[in-house]
Amino acid sequence: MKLPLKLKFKIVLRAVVTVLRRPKYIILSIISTLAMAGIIIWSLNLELLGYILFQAPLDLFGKIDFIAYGYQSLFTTYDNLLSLGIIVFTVFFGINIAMLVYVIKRQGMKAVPKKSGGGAFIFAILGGGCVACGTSLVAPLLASFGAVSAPFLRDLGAIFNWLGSLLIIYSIYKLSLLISVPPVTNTVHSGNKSNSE
Amino acid sequence: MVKKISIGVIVIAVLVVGWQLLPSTNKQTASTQQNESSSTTTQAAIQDDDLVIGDKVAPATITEYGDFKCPSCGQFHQEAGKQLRDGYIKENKLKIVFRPIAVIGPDSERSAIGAYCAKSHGKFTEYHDAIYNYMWDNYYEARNFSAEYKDILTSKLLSTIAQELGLDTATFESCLNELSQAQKVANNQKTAQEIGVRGTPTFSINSQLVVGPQPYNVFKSLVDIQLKQ
Repeated sequence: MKLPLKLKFKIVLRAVVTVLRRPKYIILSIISTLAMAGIIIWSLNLELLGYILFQAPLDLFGKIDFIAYGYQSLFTTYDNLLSLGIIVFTVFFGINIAMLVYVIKRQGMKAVPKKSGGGAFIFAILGGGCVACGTSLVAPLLASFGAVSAPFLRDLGAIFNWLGSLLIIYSIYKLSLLISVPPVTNTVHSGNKSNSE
Repeated sequence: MVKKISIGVIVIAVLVVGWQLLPSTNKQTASTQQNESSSTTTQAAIQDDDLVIGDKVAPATITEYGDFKCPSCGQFHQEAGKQLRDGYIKENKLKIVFRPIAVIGPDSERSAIGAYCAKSHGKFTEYHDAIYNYMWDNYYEARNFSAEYKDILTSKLLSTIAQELGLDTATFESCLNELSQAQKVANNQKTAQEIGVRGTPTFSINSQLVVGPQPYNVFKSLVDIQLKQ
């Protein structure tokens, strides 16, 4: 059945509110957002991160500070479009994880849609860095195809990232359907009980 | 359940980072050894040919592999680079060894050669700033990144900039065509490849590679570590 866009939006909004009004899911969402942002930000400097964590003569606070400084690079390493894309993606990613856990907890693993964010994760990681300058994970791949000088490369990182966001939104929508509209079999067997949550 | 998943997310994040680090440990050791062995040419001992911003005998060193056409390099120059110059470099605690490489286009190489020509007239820092400011003010600040793919830094433009800096344009123009100057850029390219530079800007600090125009505090932390050692 094809649902009107307005109704889809309402379903998603209702599901997001249902999940995020519980503090533990907000915390899970924030942790997931920060973890994902960290992975994207540090993906180009993992050796440096390893050096800071395990070798650098810094105390614990110094190490924490350094990692926190890395998050500032969101506004220096990436241009505005890509920065915004990463922020949007990571926030959606956090919401997606919280909703995924909510669904697993209530309906079991079998209820989880197959496409629930893995592809989006890959796109977002590939989208980081400056493709044209060679400081992107996707740059060596493109260079091997001789495509480094194509003008569209400048925004390719942002395109990858926004594509990741679209996939995450799709995943959120699929999870929202499960949260807002519980499976028919559940309704039949447990009657009103399934709606009371 | 939520607690377990939260721990799971953190564990996965740690594993991803660890997985990326493990295979690179050998590479890192090798590259560290390589860096240490080549540090006489990349960091510790400054060669006559090196393009240096700041005092040559300053205790801390950042080696920058940059392209004059690269917007991210321009961004570093406008942000963290300026802050480093206002602080550590002004206080003679830090020098930046700039190694121009050509990543983006033919004018990347031309402008890189121009840096060595400007150096021979004692005007490298001025030339470095003038080129980055030109690209930033005219193109990159307004997100006009199509300039990356156009031949902007022509011999004529570089000569005009050189003239504004008080260089003899005839000597500068003939220097741009000297093979010995082009060889210096090629040498940088080779060194960059050897130490694992994939793009610009990449910095070598304490034998660690730092990719991208990171915020000032990242450089500050690494320079402070170097100053303590």
